[in-house]
Amino acid sequence: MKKISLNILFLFFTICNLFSQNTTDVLEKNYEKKRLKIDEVNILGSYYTQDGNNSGVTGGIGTEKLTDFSTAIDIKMYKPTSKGNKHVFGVNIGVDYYTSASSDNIDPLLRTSPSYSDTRYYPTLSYNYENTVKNSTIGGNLSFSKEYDYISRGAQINYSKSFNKKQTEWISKFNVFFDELLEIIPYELRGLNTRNYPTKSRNTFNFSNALNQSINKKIQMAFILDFAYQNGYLSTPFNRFYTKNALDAQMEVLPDQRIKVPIGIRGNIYLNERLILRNFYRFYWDNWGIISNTIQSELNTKISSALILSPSVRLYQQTGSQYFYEREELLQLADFRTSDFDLSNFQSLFLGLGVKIQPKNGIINPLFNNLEIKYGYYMRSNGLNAHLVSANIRIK
Amino acid sequence: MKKHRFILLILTYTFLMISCAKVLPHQRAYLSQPDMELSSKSIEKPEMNFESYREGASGGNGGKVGGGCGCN
Repeated sequence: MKKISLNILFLFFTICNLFSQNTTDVLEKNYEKKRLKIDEVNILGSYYTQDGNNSGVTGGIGTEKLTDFSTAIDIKMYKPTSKGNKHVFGVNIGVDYYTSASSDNIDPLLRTSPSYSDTRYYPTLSYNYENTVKNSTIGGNLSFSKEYDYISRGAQINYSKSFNKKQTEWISKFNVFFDELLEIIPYELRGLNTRNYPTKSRNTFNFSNALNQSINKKIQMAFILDFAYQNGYLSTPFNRFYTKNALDAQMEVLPDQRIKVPIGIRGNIYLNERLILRNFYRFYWDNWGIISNTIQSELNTKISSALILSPSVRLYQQTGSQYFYEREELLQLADFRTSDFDLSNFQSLFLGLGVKIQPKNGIINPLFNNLEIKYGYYMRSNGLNAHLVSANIRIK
Repeated sequence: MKKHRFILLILTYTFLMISCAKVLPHQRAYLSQPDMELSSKSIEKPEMNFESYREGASGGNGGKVGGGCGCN
């Protein structure tokens, strides 16, 4: 009897022990599953330099020399739920440092004005909830950007849903930006109030819709329709404007409302195991009179499993704004006027070459998944030209 | 203006005439390649940024639609 009792007691403790182990295992597994994990980190850097002779600051004639160093780190994290869905968190922090020779002409009495060189900081926080059962994602972001004469606060909500066995995807985004800028006008137009700059506001509302569609096993396309509305102070305060034979400059004045409608089509084609062709076309219209067409193509060429070359070409054409006039083109001052050549009639060409290195065992360390470097040359029919070098390191 | 209407007409026609073949999840190997993604690449952000300032048009490509400047 004593032996049986001991055996039963042993069995009871064994079962209890097994059960308790199982519970701990399940809890550990669940804990493991629900932990926040880093999915991907991208470090992006770029160097941009441009030159031309049509600066708006000096009324359409003058140096446009500008350099910009940019660095950004983008961290994506996710936390799985017990139902197999995902909370996706994103942190992006960017810093730009730029020097602009034309901005130095806002106030020629200062040896180097605050706008000659400036640093811009722009953090963004994002959150998305991916529902794997409903094939949908809902989320948003909050952004902030600050430089000497410009502060921007932005927010976005986005929703996407896949249907038709993931062959079709609908993406909608709604962005708002509430900006504040200092109205730094050209020195000679300031009167007695030389260094006190009033603050102006500028608001942007953008609604973007995209329909992604798999055409067959090797082609997929995206149809994009955006609608943007801007109001507030939309002029560049330090741009000068000259009428014919006038000795003194006037300020640039542009309407306080702008409606923009870009329509885009993307088409990616898997040609073979070495070649992927990426195409993009955009038609753009706005109520300031700008109509433009953009065509872009990139051929991703797999040289080996570790090396991909991506030559690209982009052609752009725009009709100028109805408010654009060249320096001294007007005899009398118009209500709305600008000599900013970014709003003029021109064509541009961008030629690029990207190199992507992705060794099987990573670069130096398996964590450094790939490195991409791109050089681009930009030329505009009115003489502006620019060079851009970008590099992106992905850690996964 | 007639030229733009013609381009739009061609694009609409192309869209309507494309017949989509059924692509089952296990047949998406080619479409799932990173370079086949229907969005702009991370490395393209700097060029889209400067283009939005050096050109009158912006948007429609996933690029910058507002916010701070960083270049004058």
